[in-house]
Amino acid sequence: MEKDFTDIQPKSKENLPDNDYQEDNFSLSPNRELFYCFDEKGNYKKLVDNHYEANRLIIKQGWDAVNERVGQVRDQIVQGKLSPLAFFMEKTMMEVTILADYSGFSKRKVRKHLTPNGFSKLSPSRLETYAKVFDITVEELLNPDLNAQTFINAGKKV
Amino acid sequence: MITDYKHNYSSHCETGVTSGLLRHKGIDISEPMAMGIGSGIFFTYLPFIKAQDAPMVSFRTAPTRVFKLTTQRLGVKTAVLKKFENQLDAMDSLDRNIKNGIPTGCQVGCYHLTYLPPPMHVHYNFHNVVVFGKEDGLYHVAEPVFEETQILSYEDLLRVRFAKGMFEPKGKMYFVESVTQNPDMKKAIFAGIKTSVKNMVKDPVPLIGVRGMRKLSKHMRNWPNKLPAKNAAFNLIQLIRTVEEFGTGGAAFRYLYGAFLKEAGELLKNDELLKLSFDMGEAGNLWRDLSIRGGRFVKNRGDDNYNTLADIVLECSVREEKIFRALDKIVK
Repeated sequence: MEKDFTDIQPKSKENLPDNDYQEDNFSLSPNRELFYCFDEKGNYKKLVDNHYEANRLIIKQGWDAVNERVGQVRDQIVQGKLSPLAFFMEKTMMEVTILADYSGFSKRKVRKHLTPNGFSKLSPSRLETYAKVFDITVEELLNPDLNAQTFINAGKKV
Repeated sequence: MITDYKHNYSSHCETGVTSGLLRHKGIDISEPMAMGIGSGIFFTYLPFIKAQDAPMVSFRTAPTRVFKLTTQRLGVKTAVLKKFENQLDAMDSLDRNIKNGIPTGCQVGCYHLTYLPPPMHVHYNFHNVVVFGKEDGLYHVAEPVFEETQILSYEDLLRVRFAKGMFEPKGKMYFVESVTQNPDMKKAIFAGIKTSVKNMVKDPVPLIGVRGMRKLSKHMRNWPNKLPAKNAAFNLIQLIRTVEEFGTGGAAFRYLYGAFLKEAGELLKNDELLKLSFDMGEAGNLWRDLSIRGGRFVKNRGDDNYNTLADIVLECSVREEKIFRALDKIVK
C-alpha cells in the first residue's frame, strides 16, 4: 500500500528557492522534505519537495525577526547597557535559562554577567566556560564583531 | 559495526523512527499508521510558556510517547532507557547496542546537530534519530527527515543527546527488543483512535485539544490590542512555523492523520473511517489556508486581519470536534 503512495518529484528549477533567498546567503530549505498531500478526491500522496513559496516566506520572516532582536541587543551594547555576553546569547537564540543550563552558572549569576559591570569582573576561567558554550574563543567573546551576519555557528560538519 | 537498518525517509521524526524500527524487525507499519496507533495527533496552547516571547503552541505529544504507545499496542517488547548517571554511560550503552546489532532511537536536541542546514538550528529538544552503526569512531545516523543517512562524531552526538533547555533529552534512548508477528491491527488502531479522541475533545484542561484551539483563537483576536505590532506579528509567524515547518508533513499533522484514517479504513473495510479521512484532509486544508493567508498578512498583502485568521482557527476547532466525536462513536 505504501508504494503507490509515493510520488517523488524530480528536483526542478521551479522548486528551488528563488533569487531573493539565495541573496540572503542562507538557503531556507536546502534539503527537500517529505510532505503529505491531499487532493479533492480524498487521496493522500507523499511528495518530496522544498517548502512551498508561502512557507519559505514565513520561515524567512521568522529569521528576520530573530535578526532584529539581535540588532536591538547590539544597540544596547553600544550604548553600554549590556555586556557582549548578551549579544552572543541573543545570537544563538538562547535565553537566560538555557544559557544557565549550558554554562552551569545559576540564573542569577548569568543575569549579573549580562551587565557590563558584572561582565568586566569575570575571571578568565569563567570567560573560558562561556566561550566554550558559544563555540568561540575568549578573544572573540571579549571583542565581538557586532556587525557579523547574525547566524548560527553550531559546530562543523564532519 | 553497521547494522542493516533500512533508512526510512519520513515527514515527522518520531513516527518515522517508530515505523523504521518496527520495519527493521519485520512488522510493516507505515508512517501514518504509526501516527494513528501512537495517537500522535494533538493540540496544546500554553500562553504562559514562552520561547522568545511567543506563546508555545504544540501539535505533538511528549517525546517518545508515540513510540511507546505504538509498540505497546502492537504487542512489541521495547526498552526505553532514560536515566543515565553520567554522559559517558549513555554513550557506552549506545555503543553496546550497536555492537549487538540493535538500531537505537535517540532523543536529541536540534541546536548542535551539525548536519542540519543553518535555519534548522533551533533550541528544540523533541527531535528523534536512529543511530544504526559506528565505524572508525563515527556514528551513522538515520535522520528521518533527510533523504540520505548522516554521520556524526562522538562529541557531536554526545552534545546533542545532552542538549539543554526545555524538555532536555538527558540521553534518552529506546529500541525494540522482541516482536510478535501478525499483531491485531483492529485492536491497535481502535486503541490509538480512542486515546486521540480523549486528547482532542475530552481533556478536562481547557488548553488541550479543540478547546485549546478556541482559546488560541480568542487570544489571537487580542494580540493587536495587547501587544506592540511587531510582537503580535512574531507570535503569528511562530504559530505558522509550528504548523508547517517543524517536520509536520504539512498542515500540522492533519494530512498525516488523514492518511492514517484512509489506510485504516481500507485495511478494516470501514467506510466511515474513509469518509472521516476526507474530512480530516479538509481540516488540513484549513490549517494550510491559515499559513498562506497569515503569511500574506504578515507581509502586508491581502485583506486579512487577526480576526479573520482567528476565525480560521475557530473553524478548525469546530470541524475537528465533529471528526473526533464521530470517531468516538466508531471506536465505542
